[in-house]
Amino acid sequence: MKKILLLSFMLLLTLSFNVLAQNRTVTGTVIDENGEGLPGVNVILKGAGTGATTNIEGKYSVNIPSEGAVLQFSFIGLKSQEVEVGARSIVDITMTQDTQTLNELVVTGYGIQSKSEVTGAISSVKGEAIAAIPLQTVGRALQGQVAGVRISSLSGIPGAAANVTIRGRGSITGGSQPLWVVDGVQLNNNDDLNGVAANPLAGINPADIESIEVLKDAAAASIYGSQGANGVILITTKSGKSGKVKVNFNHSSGYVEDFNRLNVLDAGQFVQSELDALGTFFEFFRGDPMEEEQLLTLALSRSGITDPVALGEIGNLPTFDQQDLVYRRGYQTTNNLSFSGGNDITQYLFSLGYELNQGHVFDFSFERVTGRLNLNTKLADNLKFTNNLSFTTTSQENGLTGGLFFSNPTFASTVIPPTVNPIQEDGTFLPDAQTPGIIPRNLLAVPDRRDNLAVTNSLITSTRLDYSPIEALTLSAQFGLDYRLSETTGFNSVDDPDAIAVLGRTTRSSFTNLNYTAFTTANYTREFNDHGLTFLLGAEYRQEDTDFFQAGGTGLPSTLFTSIGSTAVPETATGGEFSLKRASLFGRLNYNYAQKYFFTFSGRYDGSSRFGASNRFGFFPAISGQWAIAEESFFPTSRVLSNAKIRASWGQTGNDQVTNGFVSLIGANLNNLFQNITNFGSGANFLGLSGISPQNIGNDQLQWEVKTTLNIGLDFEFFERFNFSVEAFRSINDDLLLQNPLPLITGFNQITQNLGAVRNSGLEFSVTGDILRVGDFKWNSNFNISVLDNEILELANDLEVLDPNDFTQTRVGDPIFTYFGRQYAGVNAANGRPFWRDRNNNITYNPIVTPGDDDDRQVLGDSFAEVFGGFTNTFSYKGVELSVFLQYEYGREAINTQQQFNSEFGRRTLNGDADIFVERWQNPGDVTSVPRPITAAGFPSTASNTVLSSRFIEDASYIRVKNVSVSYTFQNDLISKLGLDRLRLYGQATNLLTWTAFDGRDPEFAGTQDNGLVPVARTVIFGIELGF
Amino acid sequence: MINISFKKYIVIFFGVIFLTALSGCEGIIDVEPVLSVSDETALNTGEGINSVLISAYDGLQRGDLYNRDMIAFPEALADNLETTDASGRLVGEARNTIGSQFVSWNECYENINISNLIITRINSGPVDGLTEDEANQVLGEALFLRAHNYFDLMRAYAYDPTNLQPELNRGGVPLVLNGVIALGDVEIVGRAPVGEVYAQIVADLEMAASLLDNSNLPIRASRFGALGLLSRVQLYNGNYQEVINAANAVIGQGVDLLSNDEYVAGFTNADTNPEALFEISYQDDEGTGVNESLASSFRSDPGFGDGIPTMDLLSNYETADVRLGTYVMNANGRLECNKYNGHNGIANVDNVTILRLSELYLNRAEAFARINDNANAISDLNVIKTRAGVTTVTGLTGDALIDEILVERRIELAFEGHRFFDLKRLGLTIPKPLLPVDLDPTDFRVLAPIPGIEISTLGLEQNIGY
Repeated sequence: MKKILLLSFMLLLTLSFNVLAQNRTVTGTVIDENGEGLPGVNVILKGAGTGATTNIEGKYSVNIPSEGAVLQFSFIGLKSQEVEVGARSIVDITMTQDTQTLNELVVTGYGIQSKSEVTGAISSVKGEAIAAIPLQTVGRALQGQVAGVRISSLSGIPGAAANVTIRGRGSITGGSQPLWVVDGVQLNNNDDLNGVAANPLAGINPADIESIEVLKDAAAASIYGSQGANGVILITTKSGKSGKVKVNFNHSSGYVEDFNRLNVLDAGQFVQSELDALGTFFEFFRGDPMEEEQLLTLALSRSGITDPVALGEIGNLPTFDQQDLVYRRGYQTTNNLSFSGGNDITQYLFSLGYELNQGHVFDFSFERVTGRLNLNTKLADNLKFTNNLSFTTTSQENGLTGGLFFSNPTFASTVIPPTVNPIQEDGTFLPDAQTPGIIPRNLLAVPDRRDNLAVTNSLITSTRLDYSPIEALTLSAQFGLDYRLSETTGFNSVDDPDAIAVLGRTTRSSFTNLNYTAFTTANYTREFNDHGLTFLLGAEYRQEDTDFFQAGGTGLPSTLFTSIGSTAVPETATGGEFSLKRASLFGRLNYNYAQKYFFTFSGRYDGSSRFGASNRFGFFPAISGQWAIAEESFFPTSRVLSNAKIRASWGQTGNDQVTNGFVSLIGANLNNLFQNITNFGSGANFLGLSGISPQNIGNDQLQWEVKTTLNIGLDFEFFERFNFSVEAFRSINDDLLLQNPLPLITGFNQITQNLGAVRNSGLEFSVTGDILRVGDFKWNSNFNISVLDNEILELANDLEVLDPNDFTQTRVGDPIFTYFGRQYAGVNAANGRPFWRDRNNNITYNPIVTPGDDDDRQVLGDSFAEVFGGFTNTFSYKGVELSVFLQYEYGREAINTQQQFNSEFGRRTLNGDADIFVERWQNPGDVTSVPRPITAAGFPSTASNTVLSSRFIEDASYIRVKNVSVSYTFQNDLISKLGLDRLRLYGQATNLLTWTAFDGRDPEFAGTQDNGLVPVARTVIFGIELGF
Repeated sequence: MINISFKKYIVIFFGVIFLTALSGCEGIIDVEPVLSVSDETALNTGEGINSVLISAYDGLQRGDLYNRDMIAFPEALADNLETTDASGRLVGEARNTIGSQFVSWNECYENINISNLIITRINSGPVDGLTEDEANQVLGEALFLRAHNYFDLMRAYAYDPTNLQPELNRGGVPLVLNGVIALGDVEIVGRAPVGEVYAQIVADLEMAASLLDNSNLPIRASRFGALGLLSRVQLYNGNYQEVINAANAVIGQGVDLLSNDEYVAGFTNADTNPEALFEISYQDDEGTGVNESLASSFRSDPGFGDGIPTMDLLSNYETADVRLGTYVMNANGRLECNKYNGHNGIANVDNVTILRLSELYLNRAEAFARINDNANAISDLNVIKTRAGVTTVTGLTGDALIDEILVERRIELAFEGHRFFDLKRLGLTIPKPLLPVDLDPTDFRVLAPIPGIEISTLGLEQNIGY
């Protein structure tokens, strides 16, 4: 295989082609609708492929044969034209805006293609669509924009990564994130670090983005081989255009705030909940109801209230909602400045960006400075040099997340009792120990005591040469670098209860990822008669070197000292390094006949160090075709259906993210990175000696997961202004990496093997177009909806369930992440005790939850969103524009863990949800689903009042007004007096309104449970954009 | 602008890059792990084997073993411990709810596999970098640890030789004696009979005792450790003469009982307990946090103090009993066990004594009583009583003597992980003073459920009731 590819390439390289005779010159000027010269227009002599590009004034000169010459004029965004030269020696033309989006160019893997020729499933998003949304990173801004792409926030922390799933999750244990490629540079996709460092996109300024292409099916993604199964997202950054220097400045600022806080108990209700619980306990469990007086004393003591309060007075106790201590109104500002311009030879774009988001939770912030220089220059007529360079530094303060309890303020604030003022009469903070409940922490003191700062510097650069020894052939070489250095400082002061015993703690960690990609391609394009042919051949090498260390010390002199250098006792020292290497050959053949029938064959031969010695290389082919029906003579010329085409593709891609998801960088699991061999790893220390133990049973057969996709697409255009696309797909992910359970008596619990299969199938539908055009008024609408289905087809060795004891299970016949547990049956009206359904649908206090014949658990839902999409409506009149973007999801269930904690009512002295509390059972005969409160002793049953059951599984469907923007662009004649090209004022708001049945704070989060989640924020900004 | 005559150089440039990318495809993507070594390195060098052995000790520090469960559960499952609901932990065990039981199966077998890998390797021939003496030492330690883990498995998952419950007995645990390192090593075996597993444990301990000396007493396996454990195992096994023999080989042979004055400090000092025969040492940084450590389980400051002694347990101490000094008063006026009170003042970490000399006196006393050597039994019992500063006994015989020894065992070894196992091995009703009913020895909740995966992959018989 290798040899054949090599030979054909050498053949191409050495072949030369006859060039047609040329014997006269035609010149001319290309102007736009405003009469200004258009630089950079391609002027090609049809059939010969030779031609020229217009200069800065729009002038060109081309050699043509004496007879029958036809010139083709093309420019991105403008309607291409063909002109018969005839006897003329000067041909001037005017080019107009292209309203037919089908002729746009789209970026494909290692190339560019006219949209009309695309045979696979590729969706494009223009940079403008996302640049303005004040959501720090591209991932989150793309939410709802592309059919088939589901994006959900991992956290509301500013700068946090988003979870991006293209056409459903196909891998059970492996990574499911797409491959991100920026200007040809494949970004590292380690998803195993916390915070901003985990977000490869945090280093990209959305304002620098020209376009984003999402490669969804195998025809589009197989050129990325073993990295293509989760889809590929190509980001192209802006480049300069020849012409005068253009300066653009954009500033916005506004505020960030939380919304939908929990309605927690007031102080009186809290004491009442304790009273209820204690009363139940003594009556039910001890069998002797206590005197009311004694109960009240106990309840007050559990509530942290020291002074006696009469029973009738507890309603008058002051309430201190701890959420008020944690949330704040934050501030957000974004500033971007760019210069661009150039001449016939060199074009440049230079941009600077600064963004600050002081989040809606105290101490959270995100700050980013970006710089970019994109440069391209012609070293010779047929030799082009391009260099895109971006440098970003981000700093993210997110010190307080992490654990569920003490260290997470958004969680702690919902469960700390509201009964005690965190500020004492003398103005000092209440000592931690006096904070009632099981979280003895004064949240007000937390920000001073803890710190977690992540500073990430990233450099993404691509250097490229394009050389065309003959017109039809382009040889390209690119070297891309994605370098990231993240440094994290964690600090607990000497008075932080978590570190008081060791007198304070400081840790520092450093994480470096050097990821480089080098590839060369040869691209040959030829048209003869009605045949069009493009042939691409390439080779690539990619290496990722990761290195990290962490060190920590304890014993700080006082609260004034925070640096690791001030610690007295070294505590931790850990670190490690590893590499990933990939080497590949790839190719693609595009053929069309008369621009009617298009065929593409592509493939990649890929090797990766991640896999077992016996299975290191694989081949990933794809074949696809398109029939442009509208080009057929029988196609009726109609204003109604103005264009139509049908596409179909089949192909295979691989998923090599096999360590993602179950390897944590910081921790002993690093020993286990190489599942293809048996590892004896360290970490098992005893008596200060380092022990090594087998971490796994190695599998030298280990290979990538294979995804086989079938895609059918239809594209229609109506009235020349509505574009309508439908895609139907079915993909099977096979050879899924699963931990095949082993009997525990082996000393291991599993072996990683390529087993298992998952099917994803779905329909995507998108329509875009101008609904109304009346005079200057325009209403443009853009709607997409995806309907997906996900099913596990097969697990290891006929296993029906991978994780039979878990609540969230991997079950054959159900989607990934299916909930399996107790079915809640409500409350016994006679005594207030909760009961559940058994396997025969009878009511029981003691549901059996162990695998076996008498298992009472049932399937309760799943976290797979079956329907999702977005809907944008833009109304414009003269310079005024209003845009409303809705985003929605349907059919996903989530575990409302937050509510599980907030329904305990006296069980563990946690604050509760007032709306639920008022529904509780109080007297015999009360019909409700909220049980009678009881202390941790619980009723005599196998399950506690708030045991995880269908009671806490909720429908997480929602529709959200994700973004609303209003802008006014001043008319040209007005602002030209000020020397401006462009002046625009705008206002924008995210997450304005949400409709949902979900009872927690926010239905939008990536995982299955919402506990400890930092909810997303609402942002309102106002801005100004200036261009001159 | 570059002169076009450079063209051929540029073609060569691209060609070279391309060819370089193609050349040696197979080799250029080899990567070796930095943080781990292969089984060949680990098991075929002295350095490797010694490191593997360390991890077998480390395995005992897991939360499901001696970091908490193996000490706290035998107290909670029986009548020594009541819960405070401080963090909700130990509540299920104290109430004997279904499934609130030991979950040590996988960790014990992980440890057994590590021991097996060492034993198999040493028995197959000399190892580079280990002298014969060193090899014997390693082998002895591995045998001791294997026996220790099998004994813990048997106590949790099977009935005991002295309480076989023939109606309910489903056998011991699977006996795996060869190390597993590759898929081909996996053996499918069923539950071995109780007697067979005990025979293996006894053989391993006897062999370990013959291979080891006392140089690492008590922080690693030693001759005294092996003999001490053997005396306990034989007590469970009902071989009372063997209990006496094993205890005799330790008592008076160099380790002394703590004196009355030193008794409390023996537990609260930072070092090992002076009368310990086997103790799991923890380094300062090996704490397992407020949720899992014994220190936090038993003490509320700092920690949760989830499990405190029942009034029923405390009622057995005489006022003058020095052992009451191992309890301290908490904020609610209740006593808390202070045997694991922190290590050099560091919260949530302390050494865990698994075997100490006092137990051997009580093992031997019980064995003497079983073979009706009442004089020796009373003598051993009174050694413990005298040291504690409490009234000694005279003239007891038969059940009264055995009962007295068991009470002494309960209070001497309280909060050290014995109570439930002692009641269970004797087939006694497990008193639950705070629950409406006691736990009958025939109640299925006496045994822990075997993990479901073993039932499905090995076809093991599950313990009755689960």
